[in-house]
Amino acid sequence: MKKYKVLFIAAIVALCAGLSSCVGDLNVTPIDPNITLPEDVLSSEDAYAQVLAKCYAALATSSSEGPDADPDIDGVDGGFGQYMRALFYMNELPTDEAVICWNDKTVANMHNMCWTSSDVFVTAMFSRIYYQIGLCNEFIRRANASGFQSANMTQMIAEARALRALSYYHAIDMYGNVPFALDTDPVGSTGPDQISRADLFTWMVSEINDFMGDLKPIGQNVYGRVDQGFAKMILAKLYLNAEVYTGTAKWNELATVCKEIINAYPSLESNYTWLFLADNYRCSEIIYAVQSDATNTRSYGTTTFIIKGSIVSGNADWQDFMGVDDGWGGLMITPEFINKFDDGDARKLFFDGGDFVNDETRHTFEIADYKSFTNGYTTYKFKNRTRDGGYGAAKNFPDTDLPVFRTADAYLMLAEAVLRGATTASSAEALTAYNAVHTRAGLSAVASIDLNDIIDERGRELYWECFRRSDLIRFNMLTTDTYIWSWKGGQQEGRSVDSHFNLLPIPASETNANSKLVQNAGY
Amino acid sequence: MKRLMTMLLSIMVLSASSAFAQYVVKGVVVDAAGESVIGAAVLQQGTANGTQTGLDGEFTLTVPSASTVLEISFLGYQTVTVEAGKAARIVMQDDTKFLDEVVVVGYGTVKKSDMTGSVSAVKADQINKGVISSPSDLLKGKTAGVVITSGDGQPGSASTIRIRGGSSLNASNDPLIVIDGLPISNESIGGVSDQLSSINPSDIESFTVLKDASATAIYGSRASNGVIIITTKKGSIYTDSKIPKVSFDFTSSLSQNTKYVNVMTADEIREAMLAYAGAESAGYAALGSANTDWQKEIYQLAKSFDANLSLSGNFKIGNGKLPYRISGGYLNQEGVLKTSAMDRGTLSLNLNPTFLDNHLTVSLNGKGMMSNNHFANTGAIGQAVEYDPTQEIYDTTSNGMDGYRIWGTNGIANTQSTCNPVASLAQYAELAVAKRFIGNAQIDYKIHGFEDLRFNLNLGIDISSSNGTKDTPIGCEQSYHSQTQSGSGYHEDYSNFKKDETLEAYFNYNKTISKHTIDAMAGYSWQHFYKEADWLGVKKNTGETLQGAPSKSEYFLVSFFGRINYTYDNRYMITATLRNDGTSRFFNNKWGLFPSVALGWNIKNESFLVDSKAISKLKLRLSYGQTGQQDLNSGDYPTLAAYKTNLVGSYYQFGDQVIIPITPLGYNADLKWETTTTYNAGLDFGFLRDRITASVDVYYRKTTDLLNYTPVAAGSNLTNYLDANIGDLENKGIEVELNVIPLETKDWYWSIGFNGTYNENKILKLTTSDGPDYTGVATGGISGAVGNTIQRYMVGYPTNSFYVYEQIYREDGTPIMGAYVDRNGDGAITENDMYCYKKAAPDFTFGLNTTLTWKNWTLAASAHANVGNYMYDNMSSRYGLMSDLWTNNFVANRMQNATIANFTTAQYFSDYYIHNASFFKLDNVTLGYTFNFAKKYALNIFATVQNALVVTTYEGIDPEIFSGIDNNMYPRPRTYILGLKFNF
Repeated sequence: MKKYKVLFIAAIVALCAGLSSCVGDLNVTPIDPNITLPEDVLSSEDAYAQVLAKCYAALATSSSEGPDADPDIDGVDGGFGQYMRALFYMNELPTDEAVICWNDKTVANMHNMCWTSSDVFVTAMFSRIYYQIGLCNEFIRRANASGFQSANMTQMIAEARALRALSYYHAIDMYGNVPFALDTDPVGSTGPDQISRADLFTWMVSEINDFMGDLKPIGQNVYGRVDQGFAKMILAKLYLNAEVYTGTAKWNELATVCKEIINAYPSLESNYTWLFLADNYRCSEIIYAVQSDATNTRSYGTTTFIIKGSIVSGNADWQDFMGVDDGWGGLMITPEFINKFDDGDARKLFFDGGDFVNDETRHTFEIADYKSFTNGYTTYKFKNRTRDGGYGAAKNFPDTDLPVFRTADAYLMLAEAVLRGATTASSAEALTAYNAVHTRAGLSAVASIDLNDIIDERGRELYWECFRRSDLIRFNMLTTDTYIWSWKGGQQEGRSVDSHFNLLPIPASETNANSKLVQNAGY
Repeated sequence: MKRLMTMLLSIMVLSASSAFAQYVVKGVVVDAAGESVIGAAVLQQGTANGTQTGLDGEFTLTVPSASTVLEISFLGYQTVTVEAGKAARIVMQDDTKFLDEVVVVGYGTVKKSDMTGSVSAVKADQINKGVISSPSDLLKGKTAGVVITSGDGQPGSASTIRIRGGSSLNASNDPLIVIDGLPISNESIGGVSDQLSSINPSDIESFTVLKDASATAIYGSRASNGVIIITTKKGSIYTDSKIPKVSFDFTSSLSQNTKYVNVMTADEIREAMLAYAGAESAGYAALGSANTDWQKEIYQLAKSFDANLSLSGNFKIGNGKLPYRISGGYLNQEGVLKTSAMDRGTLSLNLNPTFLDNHLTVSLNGKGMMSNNHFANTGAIGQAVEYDPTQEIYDTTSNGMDGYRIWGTNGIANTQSTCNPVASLAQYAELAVAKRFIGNAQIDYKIHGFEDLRFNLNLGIDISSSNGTKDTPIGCEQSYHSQTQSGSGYHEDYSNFKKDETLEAYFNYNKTISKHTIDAMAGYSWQHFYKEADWLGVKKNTGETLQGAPSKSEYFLVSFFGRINYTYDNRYMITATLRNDGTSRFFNNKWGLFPSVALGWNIKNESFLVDSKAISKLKLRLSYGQTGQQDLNSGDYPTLAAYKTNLVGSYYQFGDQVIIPITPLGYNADLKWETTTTYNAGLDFGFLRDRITASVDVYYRKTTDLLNYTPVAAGSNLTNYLDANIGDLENKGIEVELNVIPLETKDWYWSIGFNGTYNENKILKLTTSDGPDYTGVATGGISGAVGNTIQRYMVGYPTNSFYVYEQIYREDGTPIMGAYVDRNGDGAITENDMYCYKKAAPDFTFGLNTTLTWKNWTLAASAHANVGNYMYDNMSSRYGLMSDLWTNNFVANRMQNATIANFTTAQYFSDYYIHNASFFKLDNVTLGYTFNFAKKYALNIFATVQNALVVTTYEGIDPEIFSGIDNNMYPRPRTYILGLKFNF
């Protein structure tokens, strides 16, 4: 009997000793080879470069696992939620430049201009912008606190600040008064304060000027990373729309910064079409483009969406012409927009399907039915073909990079600044700038220009590059009856809509998650 | 039934002889009702000389004299001693102690009469067996409050089990499964659809379902959605035979698809195309001249067989006993969809030796499983619906691979078109080989000299692994249709490994002093869950590898728990439990404390009822308790700042250098336990010696601090959706269980079991502010266009409510395209006019089981019904658009009902597509006959029809779909089964 008791007591002692260590098991760290704690992984400047690369890649891909898995943002299909695709939806679909005939969720509401605060695409854009701002904040926060102090680190921090500024530009442009989160805020779930559009404008101008000197001079950085040209373009965009954002115009500042950009990029690319091909990384006119690569950088957004969305499926010859192996169809252009082009304009890259279709499946010029895959011309501005007739490395995901800023835009902004009263550049400089863009398209130089020329030329030059919405607002054309196009406001003949559609709503999910946010008027 | 069971159980042959035999006793043993008792042991007292009674209750034994004392014993009866000379007719009385059934609960057992919680026990013998590959099917429709929705018709597909609705929103709603005392993880690994399928149903002795918090709280952290305790069959210490009891069964079956999606026939589509597009149209020109019923082409008559063999017995080792049971099973099952099949072998061993004068009991349980799962390309199901019936299967002019017809030009596939379903099946192969071992050793030691105290140690392990391959040939149609493959062909190897370890120990003290009984337990539990996965894809034509990253993950749970049961005079019972749970998933809020208390009043034992002949049982139960939830489906490190290395495709180039980005992941450091509080009141009745028994339970469950995957304030985190403890949810309901034995005579036995449940689920809170504009979280993805969802989590409505527009109809009842009710009256139809309309979950669920026995014949049936469940008919909404007859250069077949609505633009969000899917299903009907040979052997042969009848007004192929979205489901076939079962 006694031996059992001894045995029993021994067992209890052993058990109690075991307990304390077992409770300690609850302190875990990830064991997945692909997942590490930041303090473990951030052990070199190269590791910081990898995190900075994420800030860039988040503009180009939808996830950290290639095109098909685990999107960065939730609540929307991964392809739809890709940054540049969301940007395209917001800035092209509500305008004369694009119609989409799809049935996906509320996408038709974009062109019809009847979106609501619970719209999934409006929400996706907002989420993308703040996901990007969060990534940049995280990089800046970690990099500032790191033990590595070097010119390289300083430059990387400035690049992250520049990318953050790009997203704040998108936020101020589309949403107005928005949440304001910086790297000094902790990661958590407390909603940031809302900043007024005017205050954000002021902060952005001073912020950009603050990090400007830490960026590489124009043209000095490697391809794929931003330099001072990129930061100056954001400044230019802010000045261009300052009157819309704050009520106070900044035409002089705009002209000045545009001249700085133009002087640093002496000439435009000789051939307009080369700017949108698989080897467009060769074009020095592109100040910054979001990358796309057949192997390394793949998504269902950026140029994959733009190119495949422009071809009706099942047409092998058309697909081959565009350099891809698949067509989704759906993206068309309003007849009113195409009518802005002269026949000799090299930028007039629209057709009815051309030799690739028979009469029955030929696209119509007019859009009688905006849900039809063949109502409205399509464009072949973007292609996965090279300038010498070759193809991108693969046909399923294009190599074509998507330009974010081009020098030609600075030329047109300079012209507009002067027409609107800037005194820091001359009328001659404005006309020269305008004609540089105009004649590159194979057209004759003009003797004089007015603001109507500017808005039309901006459309002709920059269509599908995600500026149209903002430009039409500045010219008071987006919601008014000054200019109407097919299916504006949801009817074929077009009609004006309420002016509150000049701003996108703060998503309802945001106003719920962050009670500090006040909704934009009209929503 | 009792007779039959008794006979099946009978195994005893006491072989003994006496050299001095002088007196031959012939007698019959009967019970109080006069029924013969079969298999009772008749023993010359104090010797090994004995025999057992035969089928008629008779026995013959030779003993020394007429005054020799015989001892007659049988499980469930009081032992009788009688002199041999007076043993002509022996009446055995019921052993009421035994009849007071013992029910397995968490960390111990409890007498049914002492139970205070809401617990349902189901003996496997009560269950009609069809072709059952998973234990969950056994439980279907058997108890109130448990809704089991079988996955689909795919062999081995997993069921969804919900006990009293779901208490969570984004965290797991699966109940905890405990097998032979070992809590297992319900997480399935790749290559195995159903984690439970590794348990051979024929090894199962009983289920216990713990429903209210008083019963479940002892499992604290993992019990918010109830607990199902599975006990497997074991060797019995009641048998003393050295000869093992052998049981063998074999079933063979044929399964057949009974219902097809109502799409147009070849002639109908020709007519429709003519009417819609015209004779000159390209669409009309594209039609072929064949009459192919594609759905018939992809389904087959599926054969299956299942064989099980078990041996059980009881070795004597010195003074100790070693009851054992060993069993093996093999199941080979074809699916009705061609190329789908599985086969599975199981092996199970139980050893339950006792040592040290029964002070030390050891239970060793081991279960092994190996299966081969052939997964078909289930995409063929939808392709068969949509494929043009005027086309041939083979058409070499289309230049498809292997002669299959494809849509496209010059052999280049039209990647937006429908794949040839027959080719999709033939040109895809996936095989997963899965293995699993579940084993535990339970050591129970009654302290010598202090026998009221027991110490119990349970060590368990659950290991599973699977290795699978997927293969599509180069240049086949489906490979062209994949954006990442572009016709390259594809081969993938994947592997999964999972290892869960458990250590549990507790003390139990049990003491009865006069009218006071106390049963106290205190224990500790440690669990470790580890898993890893890997896959590698290769494009066959170039050898290029596709992304694949090995992943590993683990978490720990540590708990301390205790329980006190106090009973006074078998009339008043109180149970209190407390569990403190720690999880490694919540780094900053690891611990959660979960209490429960329950009261029971055994009214029957009060003086005013104790002598009642009519009322044989009456008990009131009241309980309150809390359980926790930490299984949030978002990985094991949701509270840690972590960085993840990007995979190829998400790289970025700095100049010529390809950089592999590192992604900072979103996290919520404040995450804590979700808590469900349950109130339960129950009443148990028994009438006429329990010929009629019933239970009624009323419950209210409220979940607070919901683990909610919800939009997080923009700019505050590294993601836009985050797990956070935001929101409240409630479930309330009534459960009724009724068991009646209308007929019980010498030849007849008829039992009816009925259960019904009403459950109401509502979301009370979802976000911190719940503003009026907030339309909740979209869920319930549908097909037809990208990213569309049809359901919402919305405050004030049940989870998975449909979120739709209200359709306007013409006078003739047909819907007007795009015409919806302007519900907010702002003069425009916008998203703000959408509303919550109905939901997927049923209001009422019913189960019915009946068995009728006449002599050697048995007829049994089981059925279940749902009322108030609604379905979104995604088939009609996605295949209902007449304008898509010809679009994107291919012909797409349409539903026959498409011409009713005649929509030319998709109207996915119309409530026109939401239908009442209430149903009654006769799950199976079995007719069996038992042959008895030589009083020892029994052969039971039976025929069963499974999925025999469905009564519903829903027009789709099956009204029973858990998600409430009918979208190309793998159909559940009707199965015809012949089987035999042999015991000796």
